[in-house]
Amino acid sequence: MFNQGLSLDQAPPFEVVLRFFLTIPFFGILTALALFGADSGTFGLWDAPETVAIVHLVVLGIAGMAMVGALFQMLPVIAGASIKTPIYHGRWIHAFMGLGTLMLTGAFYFGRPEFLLPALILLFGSLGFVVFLMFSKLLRVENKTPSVAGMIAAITGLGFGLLFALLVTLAFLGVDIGLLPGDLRTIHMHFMLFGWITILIMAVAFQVIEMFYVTPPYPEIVRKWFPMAMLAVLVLEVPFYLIFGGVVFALDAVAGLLLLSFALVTLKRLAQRKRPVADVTVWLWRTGLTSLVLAVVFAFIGVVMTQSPLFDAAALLFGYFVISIIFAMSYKIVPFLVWFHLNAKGVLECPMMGDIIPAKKAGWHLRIHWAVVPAFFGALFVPLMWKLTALVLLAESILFGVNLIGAAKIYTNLKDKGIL
Amino acid sequence: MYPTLMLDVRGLNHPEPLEKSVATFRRMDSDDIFRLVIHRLPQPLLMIAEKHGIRYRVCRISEEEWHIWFTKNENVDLTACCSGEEDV
Repeated sequence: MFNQGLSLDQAPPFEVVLRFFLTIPFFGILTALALFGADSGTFGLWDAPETVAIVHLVVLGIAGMAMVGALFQMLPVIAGASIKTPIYHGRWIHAFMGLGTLMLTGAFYFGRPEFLLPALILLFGSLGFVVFLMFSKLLRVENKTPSVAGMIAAITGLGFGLLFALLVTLAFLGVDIGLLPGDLRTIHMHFMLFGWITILIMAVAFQVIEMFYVTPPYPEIVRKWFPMAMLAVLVLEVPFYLIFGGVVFALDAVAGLLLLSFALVTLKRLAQRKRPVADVTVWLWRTGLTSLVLAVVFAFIGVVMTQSPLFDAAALLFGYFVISIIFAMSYKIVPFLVWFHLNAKGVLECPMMGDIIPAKKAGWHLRIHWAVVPAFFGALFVPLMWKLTALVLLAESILFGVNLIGAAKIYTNLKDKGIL
Repeated sequence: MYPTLMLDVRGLNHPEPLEKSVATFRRMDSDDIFRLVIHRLPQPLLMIAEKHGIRYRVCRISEEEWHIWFTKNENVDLTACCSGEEDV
């Protein structure tokens, strides 16, 4: 009898994962409001407090919630490592992350430094515990598949990102760390964006692209080595900020090539689907991966030609890549989990997965999501266009929230009607 | 052993293989033996089968072909199902 130590009891309760996913549109709405209310002229300045606040709303509020929610789901199911008392841990981690993100971004956006210390305690406490919990569980997994190895690399990246967040804070408070505050901030950003979020997207992609879209498997070299190589590049870079900046540039180029290759390989996989029916999630993956390709190309040209606007465009496209993949995953994972948990309870009225979030509503979200691109490219030339970008972002966050809440309602209404 | 219900979902996009299989679970009588042919190991489906008290046996033919036998009958011996194939 097949048995890999996997049973339904090990799957995390749906409430745990849903809590994190439902918070994504909430932070999307806050991001849109913050963007709308901010001084449009400050967006060329990445160190401007309002920009820092908006970036953290996206990275912690949107991406962070999605990533931690996904880890709660993936750890037992993909890695076979169960978390004791997942509801308890899910609740406090979610509350600490949510409140910490609100306080941190509020501190920057409204110029309230008194929020910084409690924000940092909440965020380091929750995300630090996530690193400890997930890392200790993942290291004990015997069969370290490429997805498990990727998750380990991503968690390590998050650990480094948190460490450098602490060092950045200390440096800005005047403590001599030995590195310039600007360099520390760059290292912190690299670990969070590429070491954590991107590597986790890779690890998830290795599992879900082949499974959901029936594609050929990723080449072995990509599955086995890309996450580790990305992490190694980021770690190797750190001492060279002190020694020789030219090496940092070379290693950045290697990281860019890894991102570019991952995006192109995944796009090729999507083109090789056995049954090429393109639903909204396929288009979201394509949209995100194309943005990643453009982001790498723009960043490269921007650095070589020292063209700041191209680099700004690259940063925006990278954020758009992350958000597109989060939407793609949410539209696959949430209906699947509703269907899975209702069927496991023996609910006979359980709708088909495609009816849990109707394709038409998801399709509208996709169209609005596409409208973000011309809006933010326009904003790079006409700052007032940031207001329009904010409104488009607001519309898509509201629609995303409505779609997810609709799915959650189906689960809530039917969950007690099971025959098991 | 001969299946009374058969389903070949190889190459179908997610979630069709799961939905068709669960629909078959609902049609299964206590004497039925259901053979599923699928392109990958459907772990969530096995978890649902377990929850529904359905016994199963997994045979891997190749990385892209898996035969899974299901039954609700306690007396059916599934050990013979994987003869000549890799019993996972």
